[in-house]
Amino acid sequence: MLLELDHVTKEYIRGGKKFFALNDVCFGIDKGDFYTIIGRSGSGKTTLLTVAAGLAAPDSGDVVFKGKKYSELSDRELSAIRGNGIGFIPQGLGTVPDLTVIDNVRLPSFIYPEKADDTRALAILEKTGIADLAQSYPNELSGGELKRVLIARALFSQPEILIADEPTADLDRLTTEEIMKLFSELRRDGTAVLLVTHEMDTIAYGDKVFTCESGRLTEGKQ
Amino acid sequence: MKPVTSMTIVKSSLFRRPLRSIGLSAVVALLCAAIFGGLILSSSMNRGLDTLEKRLGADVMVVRYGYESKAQGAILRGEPTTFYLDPGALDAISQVEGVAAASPQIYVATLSAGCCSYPLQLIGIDPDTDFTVTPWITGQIKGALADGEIVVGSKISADVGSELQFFKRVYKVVGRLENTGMGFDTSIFMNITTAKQAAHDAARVSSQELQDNDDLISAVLVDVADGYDVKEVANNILRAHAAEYHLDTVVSDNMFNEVSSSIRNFTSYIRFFEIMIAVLTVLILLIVFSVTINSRRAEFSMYRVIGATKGRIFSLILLESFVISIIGAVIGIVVMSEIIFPFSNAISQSIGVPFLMPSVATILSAVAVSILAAVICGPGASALCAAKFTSKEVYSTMREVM
Ligand SMILES: Nc1ncnc2c1ncn2[C@@H]1O[C@H](COP(=O)(O)OP(=O)(O)O)[C@@H](O)[C@H]1O
Ligand SMILES: [Mg+2]
Repeated sequence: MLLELDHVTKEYIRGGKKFFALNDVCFGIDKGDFYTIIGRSGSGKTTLLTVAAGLAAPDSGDVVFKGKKYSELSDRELSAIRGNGIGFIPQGLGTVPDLTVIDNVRLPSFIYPEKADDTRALAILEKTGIADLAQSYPNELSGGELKRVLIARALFSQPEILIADEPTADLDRLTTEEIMKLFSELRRDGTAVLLVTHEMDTIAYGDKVFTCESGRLTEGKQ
Repeated sequence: MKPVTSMTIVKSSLFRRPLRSIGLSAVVALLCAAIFGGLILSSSMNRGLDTLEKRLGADVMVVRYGYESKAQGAILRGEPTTFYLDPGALDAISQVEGVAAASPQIYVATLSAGCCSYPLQLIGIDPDTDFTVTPWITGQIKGALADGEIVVGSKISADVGSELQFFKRVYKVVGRLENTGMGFDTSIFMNITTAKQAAHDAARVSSQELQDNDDLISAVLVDVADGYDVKEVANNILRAHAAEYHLDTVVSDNMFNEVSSSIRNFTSYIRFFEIMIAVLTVLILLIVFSVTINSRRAEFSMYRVIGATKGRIFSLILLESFVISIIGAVIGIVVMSEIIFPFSNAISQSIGVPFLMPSVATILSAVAVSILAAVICGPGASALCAAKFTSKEVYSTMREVM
């Protein structure tokens, strides 16, 4: 298994009461898999993805990436997994406001200089349809364009798994299709894709669907 | 394309937010200026005090009764004055127990001179017996002062080799003294024979009678022998001869104690304000840098998402605030120098204490101390904030933009 969640639980306190944002979630995804997660707003999808990406720690259970338990890793080792193994596309807008689009996309090479490859960076901009915005700043971009910057940045790292939180939410139909095709191509090189979506059209691109409800994850469309 | 480095990121962050960068630098500049200015001011005053004590060179100055404060004004503040003493006092004083050396001086005030729009103090010294001024003017001239030759104080605008005229008589400038921060800076030194001539010229101008030419003196400077108490000897002089010659004494320590306590008062005021301002600006720095870093938590979380370690975020934040602090520190020091050095005279006059430019080493160490304070405070405050938020889960700091 590339990435595995083993009886993962995450609790939050809301209105003074504890509740399960993730309730005993077991889930696994392997090389080349393309899985889609659907579920109503507030059902725990984002929590699931951030726990899977090591951005939040579960209260119980294990997250395992290529046999390594997150809970047993140092900050350096976990950061290396985020930098090299996982491409995370957050639900909100997460660019560095003072850097140009091209520098935002190349940003992973700031942390891992061996990743620097300007030709590839430009090619990814081309693929994601924002080549003409390369020298623009994030505050000059629309929501859909910003989303594509985040997607480009995640692709630039050449991750083993792409984790995307509603990546096409702000995009028009045509761009959505292009992006989804891009994701489908990735799996041919063995990259896994884990996608949270609201749009039922996009489910067709994946090979399995999971439904999240009140912190519980079940296979199938409910 | 240029690679993306920490410096690229810091630069674009600084240039893309000019207002924020300028604001932060300005606060650092304020801190630096306060510390630097305080250090320079207090060390220059202390230096003025040191030279002050060295420059009189005598333990006791004996003047005519009632002229004590005039003599002090002439020496400390350069208020020109003319006064005379019964010439017989010189021999009498030399005989008093505890007096190691006694030398006469003549003090004559000019009306105005060609060089200056204000009156000057002429001081005549006896080259044969003088132990006060000669040691520090010998560096300026070769041999003893000949008749008609003068050495001028640092604030008198007359070059060596030029001539000055007082009471229609011409004098040749053979030397200039370095800055003392005292009345000596506006004084003119000559030998006692020349000074007597000047005294008669001055009397003629103001149509006064002067006594016997050969024995004219204004004051007797006394060096107290080792092992004797200065005040004791001054009292001995008064007890033995005050009635006969109408004497009064100025004890050098007393005179300078007044000045030094006023300097010390002043420097402790400076210290107090310096500490107040430093504490305030450190607080402001802490707040301003924390607020800035906090408002950028989401931005810094992004680096975590793409694989930056806590240490990496930390050093990025430190680098940025370090650059801001260095810029602020340089601005603060330059601006403070522009204020304090050109206006040093005005400052010293308004508080009535001598101001001497500190040595290069002192200035450099003041620069070092204030820069150090700046780069500890700004980046220190940022580091605290960075530590606080990197200790939290990335998701929780990220959520702000999600
Ligand atoms: N840090 C948090 N503190 C408290 N409650 C949270 C926190 N993060 C998420 N939640 C709550 O947990 C639930 C699941 O959130 P989330 O995973 O974002 O849902 P989804 O992405 O499916 O819309 C929501 O009800 C949300 O309000
Ligand atoms: Mg969500």
